[in-house]
Amino acid sequence: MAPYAGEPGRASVLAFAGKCLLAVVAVGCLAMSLASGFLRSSDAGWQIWELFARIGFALAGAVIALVLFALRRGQLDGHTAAPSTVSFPLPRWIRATKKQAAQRLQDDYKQAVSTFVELLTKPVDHRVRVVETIDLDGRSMRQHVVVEFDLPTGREDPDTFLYVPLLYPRKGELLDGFHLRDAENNSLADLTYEETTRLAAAGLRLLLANARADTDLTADPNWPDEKLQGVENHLLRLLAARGQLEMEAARRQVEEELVPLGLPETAHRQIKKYVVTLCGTYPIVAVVNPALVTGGRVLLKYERAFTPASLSADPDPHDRSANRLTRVLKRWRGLARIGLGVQPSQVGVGVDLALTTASYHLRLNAPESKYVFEQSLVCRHCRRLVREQWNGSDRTDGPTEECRHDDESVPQQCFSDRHYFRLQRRRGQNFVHVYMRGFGRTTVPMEGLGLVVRFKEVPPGSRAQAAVTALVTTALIMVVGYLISQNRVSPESDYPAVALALPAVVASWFGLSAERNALVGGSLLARLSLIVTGTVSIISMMTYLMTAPTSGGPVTPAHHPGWSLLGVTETPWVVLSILSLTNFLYIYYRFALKLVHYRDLLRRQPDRSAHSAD
Amino acid sequence: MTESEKSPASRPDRIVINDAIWVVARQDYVDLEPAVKESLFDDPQRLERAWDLTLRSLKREADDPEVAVCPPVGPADEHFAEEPDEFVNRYTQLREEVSRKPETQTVKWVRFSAHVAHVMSWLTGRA
Repeated sequence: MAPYAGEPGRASVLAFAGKCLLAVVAVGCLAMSLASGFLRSSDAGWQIWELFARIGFALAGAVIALVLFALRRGQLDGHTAAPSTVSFPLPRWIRATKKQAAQRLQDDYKQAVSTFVELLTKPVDHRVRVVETIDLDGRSMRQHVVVEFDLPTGREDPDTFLYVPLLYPRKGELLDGFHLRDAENNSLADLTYEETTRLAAAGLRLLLANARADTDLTADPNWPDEKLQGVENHLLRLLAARGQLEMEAARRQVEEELVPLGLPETAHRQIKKYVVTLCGTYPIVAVVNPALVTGGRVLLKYERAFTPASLSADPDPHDRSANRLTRVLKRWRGLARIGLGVQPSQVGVGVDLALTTASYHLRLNAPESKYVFEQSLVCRHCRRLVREQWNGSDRTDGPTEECRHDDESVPQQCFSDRHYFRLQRRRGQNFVHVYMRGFGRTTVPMEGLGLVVRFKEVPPGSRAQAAVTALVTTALIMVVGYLISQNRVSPESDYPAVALALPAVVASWFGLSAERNALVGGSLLARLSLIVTGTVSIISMMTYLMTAPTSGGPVTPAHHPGWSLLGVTETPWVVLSILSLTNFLYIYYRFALKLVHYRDLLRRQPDRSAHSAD
Repeated sequence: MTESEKSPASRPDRIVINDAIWVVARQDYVDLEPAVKESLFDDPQRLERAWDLTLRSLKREADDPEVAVCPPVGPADEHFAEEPDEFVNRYTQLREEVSRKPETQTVKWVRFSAHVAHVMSWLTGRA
């Protein structure tokens, strides 16, 4: 009987058995590397041969273990999503869509369809204000966005419903935890994919008709002709395509389709903008009750969840201030943070929504146990701080090929309609507030700007825990070292060993209990200090067990070098005391630095806001 | 010198990210084309005529299949599902044109590494 899908075949069973065998061999090799006496013989040099054999077993065991690890890693890496492909609708699907659109359209849909087209082709003119709030509480980011629309003037009937494109997710992206609301937090309805496509088809026909409406075509029963219908069908196939299109290719194809029609330039631009936008996104279209519109304004809200990626920072090729070793160490710091289970303390968020509106506010909220340590508005490609003198540029000779800004830094004392931005200064608060205006109106949009924020724990935090643990450990080690040095420990007493093990338990508890429910992590330094504390604690306990006096007298004779560290004269205990003391002093020094820095932030006067960094 | 006394010139021109970082990959589409200045609402009479034309022409095509320009539904239509038509071919051709990049040293190394990985996976029986 042929195995059904999912049942392991003979090959996979054999592969599994092979891996099990390799694992047994690896464990055997590692066990032999720890054994001794297995080559004992009467020959004089058997110890040397046994040493070589143990090293060989250790190497063989390590190599086999690495191979097994790599195989399993490769299997896990293979569990990836299938590559997304672009697919286009069949012509009959287009025909059915247009037919359904025609059946549903009524005379009073004019305002809804024309408003949809207007908001889609001129978003910046009508999205007058966007307020975005991102909460970092919990294990994911939650985004709340409030969009204030200034609806097109010239609407004839203020009592008909409206189709308002509110959100433009890229094609192929899923929205998690999405909720649409009006200004009073009541849920709003939005169009389905099929409804949006029908609306898009009607909007495209309206734009084509508008391009020819200056002529007396209302009397022409044959409009649109065969050629125009053919182009319209191609454009509809393009905008209804599923999956992420290569936008430059789509843009070129739209241009190729439109050029033969010989449309007026204004209509050409409008239609191209409309189709290209719909090629890149499935817009979320809210159905808005006219009662929500006040003075031509309507306020809509949505919220959704993000799953951010936790990355170790790449070595920065533009970082001239650091040598190769420093850059490698910096990279390892990020890897160490992730490897030790400490969540990243930095957050990078794009401010692309500023390009879709006249006025943009972004507020990034961290938990109350954190404060803003650094905040920078930068170009994500070249990592330079954003300057007000920058202009949008599509030249490729900028700081990097991807940068969409020029490198001008000429100060300008006057302005007409320039873009503008500000950051709320740091005063020990747990949030970042950015205000950007006019970035959607630049000739070339400055894509790729982002906010990079580093949060720190509000003192005392985990550094204080680590400092106290290190202090207790240092005290215990020095006391036990002193007692041993002075031969004042009772023979066979286990109390010192128990006392020395206590800090290791405390360090483990602090390490495990920290940051379970916080997205933004705490101090890597505190975690490293706790690890050092635990390690020194365990080593000191083992040292005590091996060197503590027994009823038969001291294991090793007391050695008095003539100098001491606070009465500790035994060399192992002196070394352990110095290690623990160094650990304590350094973590306390860093804790005190943070405490003073936080106090300075709290003392700041609310005099002005900051530029691109603070 | 307190922080408030620092001059803007003393700030570094760029930041160095040297630690782990949460990165939010934006899922929103932002059109980078220049803004359109024209509006449908500039001329209400023209919009009225265009809407009449839209409604009338769409309903006529829906009511009279002979008017609509589309391949007929049937076996000929199914043909599109198996072989891409001229429209799809044109898109594919354009996509390859815009995504073609010069072969840099990095690309050569990546290609060589992929080749080595393929040989290794073949040798270990995981291909």
